[in-house]
Amino acid sequence: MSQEPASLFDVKSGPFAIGQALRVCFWKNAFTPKEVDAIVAYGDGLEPMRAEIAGRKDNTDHMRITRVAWMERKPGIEWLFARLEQMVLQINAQFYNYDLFGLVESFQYTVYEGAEGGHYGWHVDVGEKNYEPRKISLSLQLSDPSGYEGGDLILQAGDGELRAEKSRGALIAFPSFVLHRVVPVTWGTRKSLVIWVAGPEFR
Amino acid sequence: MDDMLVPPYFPAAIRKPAMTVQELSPNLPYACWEGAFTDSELDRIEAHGDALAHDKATLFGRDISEEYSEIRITRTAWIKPSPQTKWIYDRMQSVVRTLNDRVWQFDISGFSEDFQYTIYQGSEGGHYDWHVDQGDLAKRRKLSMSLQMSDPSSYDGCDLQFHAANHIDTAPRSRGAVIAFPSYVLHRVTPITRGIRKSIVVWTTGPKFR
Repeated sequence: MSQEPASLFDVKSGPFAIGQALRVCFWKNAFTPKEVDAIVAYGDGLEPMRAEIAGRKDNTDHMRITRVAWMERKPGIEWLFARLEQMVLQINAQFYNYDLFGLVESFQYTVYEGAEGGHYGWHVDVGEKNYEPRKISLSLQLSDPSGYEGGDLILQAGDGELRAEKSRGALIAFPSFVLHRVVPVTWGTRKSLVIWVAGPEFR
Repeated sequence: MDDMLVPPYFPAAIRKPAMTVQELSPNLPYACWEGAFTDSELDRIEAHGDALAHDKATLFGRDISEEYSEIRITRTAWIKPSPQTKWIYDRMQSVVRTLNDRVWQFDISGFSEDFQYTIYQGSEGGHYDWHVDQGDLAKRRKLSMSLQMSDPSSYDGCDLQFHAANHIDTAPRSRGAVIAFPSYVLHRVTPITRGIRKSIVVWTTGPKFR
C-alpha cells in the first residue's frame, strides 16, 4: 500500500509533513548542490568501515550492508552541525515539540553500493541503551537519483508505506520510533548522511 | 447486592507472585502480564460484553464499507464506565499503572475512551491490518492495551503482532494476558481462520509525547 511519491507534491521551500498517523517531514532543497558537494567531499575523506548492528556479533548481512564513516563535530565541518541544529529546531517547533538535548552523536556518513547490494532492513532507531535516547532521526540525500537504482528510504508511518523524497539535498525527518528501511541498491551508489537528535526518554 | 456486581478485586500485593512482566528490550516492543485477569473475572466481563449491541467497527469515524474491509473486519461494542463496570476499570487501571511504572514511565492521566470489546469471527475472516493507534483523531493516545479474553485453543490465527524490527513479534495468546505497548508501535491482528476471538482494547491518554 504505497502512497504517491512525495516528490509529486509541489513544495517550493521549507519543511512539510506527510502521514496521517505518525508525521514524517520532507524538506526539499534543504541544502544547495554546492553545499552537498562539500559534505560529500568531506565524507569521502573520512575512514570508511562496514556498519555493524548494535549488540550483534553474528553475520548481519541479511539485515544490513552499508559502508559508514563517522563525522565528528570538528572545525572543518562545524558549519554543517550549526545548520542542522537550526533546521532541527525549526522542524521540531513546527511538527513534533519534543524535549531535546541536541546533536549528541556524530553524524553517520552512509554509502550504499549497488555492487554489494547495499541495504538496511526494517528497523527503528529507538531501544538501544548504550547511547542517549534518540528522539528524531534525519536523513540527508547526498546522491542524485539518476546515479543509482533502488536505495529508497521507505517509512511505515502507520497508514501505509511512504517513499521518501530522493532529490539531492532533500532532508527527511521522522520520530525515531517510526519503522523504516533502505531497499537494496541494484546499481550505482547512494550516499546519505544520517543524523540523530537526542533527548530525554519519551514521557 | 447481586453477586455479579461484587468487585472481584485482589490487592496488588497478593497478585504479585503470579505476575510475569516481560521487560522492554530492543527486540520486544510490548510488555505482557500473563494472568493479569482471572478466569472468573474474564467470565464476568464476557457476560457483560456479549450482552451489548455489537456493531461493525469503524476506522476513526469512517464506516467500514468495501473500501476499508481490506483493512479491518471486527465486531465491536463499548464497555462504558458505570457502577456495574467500575470494577473492570479499576482492575485495568492497576494493571496499566504497574506495567507503565515498570517499563515506560509515560505521563498518563487516564483512559481516553470507553473500553472496546472486540470480536473477531472466523466465519467472516475478522482481522485488522498494520496500523498505529495514533492519528489526527487519536493524537493523545499513549499506551494501548489488549486483554486476551478467549482460550487460545478455541480459535486459529488472530494473532496480535508487532512490527518494530526486521522480524515480527507475536503477542502471547493466553486467556487473561494483558499486552501493553506505546500507541505509536505498528501492530496488526492477523485473519482468524477458525472460531471466535474476543478481546478488550483500552487506550490511555496524557500530555502529548515530548
